[in-house]
Amino acid sequence: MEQYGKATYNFAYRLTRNDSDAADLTQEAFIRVYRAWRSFVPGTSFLSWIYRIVTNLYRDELRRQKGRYQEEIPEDNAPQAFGGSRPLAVEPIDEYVERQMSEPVAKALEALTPDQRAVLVLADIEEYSYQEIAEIVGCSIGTVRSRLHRARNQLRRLVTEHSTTL
Amino acid sequence: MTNEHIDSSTLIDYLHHELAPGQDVLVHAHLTACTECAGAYEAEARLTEALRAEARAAERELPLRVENHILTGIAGRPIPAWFQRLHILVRPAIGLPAAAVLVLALALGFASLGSHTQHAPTIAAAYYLDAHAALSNRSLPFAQTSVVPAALDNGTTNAGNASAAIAANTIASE
Repeated sequence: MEQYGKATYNFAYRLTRNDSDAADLTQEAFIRVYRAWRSFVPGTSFLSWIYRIVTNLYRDELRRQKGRYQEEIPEDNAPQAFGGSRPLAVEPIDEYVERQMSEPVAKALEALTPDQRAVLVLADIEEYSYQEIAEIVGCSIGTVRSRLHRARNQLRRLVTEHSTTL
Repeated sequence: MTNEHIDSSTLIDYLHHELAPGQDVLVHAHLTACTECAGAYEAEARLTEALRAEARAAERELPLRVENHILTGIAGRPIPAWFQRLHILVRPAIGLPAAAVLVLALALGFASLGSHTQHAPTIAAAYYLDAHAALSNRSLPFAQTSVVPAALDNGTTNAGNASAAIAANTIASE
């Protein structure tokens, strides 16, 4: 839990863009992990396995809601903009640029489809290979590639739009 | 490849180290020579960096209440240790060979038990030996040396001989 809890929660948040949903997903995912630990194949990545469970749960939830999205509920766990586990070696100017860029990127990410966001998060933030993403998401490598390309093109366009409106 | 510009899909695959080694080398060589493609690649790399920066900025700790909910949820689904072991044993990889060995052992056990019951007439053989000894006592020249131990031969020899004779007749009639 200590080792994978934070990573799972952050992955769930990046998928849902919502603290409440991320908490529910993380909670359900860990209970599933506990119940299904026998199906874990030794020698494979445990985190990838959890991510696959989170992705499936998120997809099920979206299917259940039929495209209905909830408004983000403010949580007591506010984003740690410049504290917590951030590397201390980051220069202040980089922090400023990072802060300026993070808001349009966050808005652009929210505008992507859940499938595009999942592939983008896994490829660019979690740095998984296409093969690993295909296994986590449950699709072909070709689908991963096309989703990623479309997501990046759309993200670039959206970031540009949001940056000009700032 | 070196004369044509690289499309964005190939650049994205290159950025994610997903090109085949030969193609990767060609793209790398092209990027060092073509400023336009190098600019496009830099734009892709900046987008990835912006995503990572956003992820770092929005990074969260696992809320304590979520951790508590997980632990409570897990605690509400106890699995006894003996059941876990039993469940492992009934896995096909372990259960099937174990079941096969068990069936084989049972089959062999029954077979040996069956053959054992066939040899049960050893009791009759004991009678036969007894009868043989009785006959030997009566007919052979060295009949004086009784097969029956002296300690047991307290006047019961005749009765013993009678029963032995009956047994011998029974065997002969068989």
